[in-house]
Amino acid sequence: MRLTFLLAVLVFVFNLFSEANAESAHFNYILHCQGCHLVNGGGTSGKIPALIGVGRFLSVEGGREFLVRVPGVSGSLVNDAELAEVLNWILYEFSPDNLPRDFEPYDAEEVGRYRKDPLVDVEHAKDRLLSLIET
Amino acid sequence: MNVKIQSFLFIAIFWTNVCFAQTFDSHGASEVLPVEPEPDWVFIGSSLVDVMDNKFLGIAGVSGGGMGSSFTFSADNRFMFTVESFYSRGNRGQRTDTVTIFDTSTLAPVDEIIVPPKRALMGSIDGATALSDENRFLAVFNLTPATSLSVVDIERREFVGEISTPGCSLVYPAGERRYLMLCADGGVLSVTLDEDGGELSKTRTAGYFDPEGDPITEAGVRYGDQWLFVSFGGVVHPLDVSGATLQFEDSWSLLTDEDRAENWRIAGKQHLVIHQATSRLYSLVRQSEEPLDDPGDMDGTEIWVYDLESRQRVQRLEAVPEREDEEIGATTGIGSTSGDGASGILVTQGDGSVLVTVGGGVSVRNAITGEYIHEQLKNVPGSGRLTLRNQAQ
Repeated sequence: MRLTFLLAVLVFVFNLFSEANAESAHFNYILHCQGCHLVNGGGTSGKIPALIGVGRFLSVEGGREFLVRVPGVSGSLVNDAELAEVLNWILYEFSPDNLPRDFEPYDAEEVGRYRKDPLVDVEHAKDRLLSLIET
Repeated sequence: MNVKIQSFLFIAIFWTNVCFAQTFDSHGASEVLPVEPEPDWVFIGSSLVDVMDNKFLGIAGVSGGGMGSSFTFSADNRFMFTVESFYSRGNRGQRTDTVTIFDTSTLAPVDEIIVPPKRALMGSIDGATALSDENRFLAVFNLTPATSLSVVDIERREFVGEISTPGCSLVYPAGERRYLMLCADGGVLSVTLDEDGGELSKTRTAGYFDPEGDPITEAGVRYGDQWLFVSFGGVVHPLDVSGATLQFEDSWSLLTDEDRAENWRIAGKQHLVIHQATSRLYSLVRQSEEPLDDPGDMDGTEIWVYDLESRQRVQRLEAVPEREDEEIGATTGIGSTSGDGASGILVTQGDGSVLVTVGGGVSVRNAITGEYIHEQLKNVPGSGRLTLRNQAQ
């Protein structure tokens, strides 16, 4: 009973947080991401990665950094706080079923750290993580 | 109709055709150009023009209405290369991208190399292709929008492979088998090939320019071992490509405080060019109270000339000669400009170099004195990207 109550409070607080940021995050998604990743995050097979289910990368070692170090994220013209916000929004919006139970949203400091080290070989890093996810 | 009349008609039509053909032939004789070009041969779009003698020499049948890259030439001058895209149903269907090889003497296509259908369709601007300094591997910039390079061996005429270049765009030659690319976060990427054109190494260096505060244009110019890219705010960023790692040199400004107070800004598409022998840098500029969203959308109204050794401005020239109003008109659509000056400049590099400007027609003047040789060339295209035919000079 007490646990349920605590969970309800947590969900409420979380909702408050996400409501406050959802609008600007969605705005930045439209402005900086949607042109290629499309309204529904579906991407284009073979060209633009789908964002649907992208939360599965968070379940493996190195995946959390990977999602920031890819070129579309690290090189986007938004500041660290906005980037953390839009990245969290993408994960909740397009990947609610794949998020790890203990998922902690990104913050500006963490995103700022990862994006300073953009990936030079994305395909190799992605293949390695996908093989970890599959096993 | 009886047979006699039919035969008569046939013979009459036959001879009429023969006569017309002869008339056409005597006026339309086609020339074969020498392999070694004159120093003053310049492509305006895909038309080759002797700008000194105001003579139209021919046209290369490049597809895509100006969406092709500019031309690159083989070391022996016999061939030139450009990248083209074709759809199986004209404007839709399966896409095929080719590096097309033209014979420089006839300007006719002679061969093609099929590359992945990924090249950036971005109009005829700098950075679409780059031939590495040893003149063997041509890199084509791809944007799907994942960014990569397609490497083509122009000696063996075959596609070698693709190199992914995440977050970095456009391509410029930067060494024997090395290219330079510009990254979205303001860094640069150097891509080095092995002897067979495969990927040897990639190195990304941060902090070349400020993509948010003062981005650079794509129209960089090569000055020996340096590349010079200029920011929207008129700051020159020299980049040295002589060593194993790319070096950022001290930046300097084309504009003094006084120039800025008078709202002078860089403008034009093909807005920079260097006369190598005299170290003169030519830059298109205009006045605008508001910063320009993209300098390439507005014509330059003056050409400012700098000495690259002293980094001082040494000359101010008008961008285009005074013309009747009706002769100057803004263009619309892709490649549109404000129509009140020049969108592109080029200097030839031999003795008696000339400065060519495009804007409401093409004008030609002495590159050093600025004295006009032709205020307006006749019977040549009035606009288009300028490419020096003799790039080996």
